[in-house]
Amino acid sequence: MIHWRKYFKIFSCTVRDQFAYIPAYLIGNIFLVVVLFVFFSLWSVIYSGKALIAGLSMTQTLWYLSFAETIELSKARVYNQIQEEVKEGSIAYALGRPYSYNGFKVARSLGESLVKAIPILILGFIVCSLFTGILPGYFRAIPFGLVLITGGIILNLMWGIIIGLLAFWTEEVTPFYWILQKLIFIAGGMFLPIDFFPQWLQGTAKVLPFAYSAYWPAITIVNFSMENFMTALTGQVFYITVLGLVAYGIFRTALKKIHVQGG
Amino acid sequence: MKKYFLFNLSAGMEYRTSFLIQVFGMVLNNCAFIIFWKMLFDRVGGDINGYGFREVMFLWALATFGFSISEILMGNARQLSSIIYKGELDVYLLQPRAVLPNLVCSRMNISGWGDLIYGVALFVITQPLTPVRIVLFLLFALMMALVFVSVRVFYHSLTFFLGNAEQFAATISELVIMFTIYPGSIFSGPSTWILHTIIPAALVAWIPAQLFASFDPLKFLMLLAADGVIVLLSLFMFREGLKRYSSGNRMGTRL
Repeated sequence: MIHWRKYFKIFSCTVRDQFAYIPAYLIGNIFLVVVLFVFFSLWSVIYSGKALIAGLSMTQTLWYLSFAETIELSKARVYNQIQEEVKEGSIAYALGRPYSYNGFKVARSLGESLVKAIPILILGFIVCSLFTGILPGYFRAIPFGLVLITGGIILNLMWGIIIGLLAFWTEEVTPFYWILQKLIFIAGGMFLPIDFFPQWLQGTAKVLPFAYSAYWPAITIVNFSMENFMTALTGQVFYITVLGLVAYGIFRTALKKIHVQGG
Repeated sequence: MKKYFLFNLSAGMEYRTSFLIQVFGMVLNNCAFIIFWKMLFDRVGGDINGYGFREVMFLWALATFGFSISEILMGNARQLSSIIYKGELDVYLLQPRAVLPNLVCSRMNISGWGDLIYGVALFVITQPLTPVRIVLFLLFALMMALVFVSVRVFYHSLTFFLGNAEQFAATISELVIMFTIYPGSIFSGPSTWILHTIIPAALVAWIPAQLFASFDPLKFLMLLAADGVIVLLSLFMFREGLKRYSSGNRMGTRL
């Protein structure tokens, strides 16, 4: 039986911890403002004289990018933490504790990411409203969008844990993270909504797990329907389960490689 | 610099698998952006304010190659704030070498080799190759590396005056890189002033791209002068900051 309360406790402790760093974190969010400014400048030129491209307006495209960036920028660097713990050997200490290692990482990193996501969403709302005006239907879509953004964050956490655990086999896992990140950027539609892809590629890209980290949460908010929401949620639950099982399998295999010496 | 280069390279090659994973990981990482721009230009049709696919690829080739030179030869510039506020500068001050070159050259970031391979390959594949253009590309890449390191030195030197400026300096450095890989012509108004001065993306990439397409000696001299000003400003900032540096009590050695 899973003892959810202890994982919720880890989650809530991390949330409290993270609030202590909010001022420093807000300075770091200058980056989001600039990213949105660059996207706004680029897409203003591309949209000049056109109301819609690939079925999306300029307003929808900019807001889409801000939601996709929210998931990306609020990511906890869980792969990095695991890599360091494996390299230093400190992972051995975590094994004796009364919780699942992967479960602990999910609870802790989710707390960190959700606290980061809130100011990004607020900042994204302000900046996008100034550039293009408020997204039509924003207030109706955002409660459902928050569920999908959380789903996207959890999906990324699962990838982060899998990549971090690869440190048992390779010293350096950062390049694997870069490759995953770029798969989400491109195939997942983070930089460019999948609707802009060539027709032959759209169908495949939309069912890949990367799309559920970026495209589905963002497109559901800017083009809201219950059908889109259910598609996005079902896909996220499916891939979170699959990646969770893969992470568990890798962890069990990796445990066999641990040799504890001394005390 | 040569000794540092050879020493840092042999240190990186100590873990050969890790070295190769980092290098080829970075190449693959960068390749993703070619796909992004190709799909965007295919969807848009034509160019974006005078920049076609080839022009954007030139920006990418120049940015990655120039950045790689700074990471390979002067990779410690990004650690400057941390070295200052931890009081680790003492180690460099005690050595019989000029402080700043000794400091910035003492680390190589291995992933820079991936950027180098990518930048050169992208240039060879996407640009028309003539001896003059190859020389210009190499020259602009060197100028970019020097200006980029100077920007890092300038902003990290704020740590001497303001306390820890690490995050601010890192953000500005990232912004320089980020702006260089987008067409300069999409920006207008007051932002272009910022992009010629505080975040000098125009100096490191957009003006070189114009000169690469159509060389103008006067414009080239103006670019050299502007780059020179940035380098001198960073040297001045570091020197003034150094006067305010108070030593830490941390013990350390460099062998």
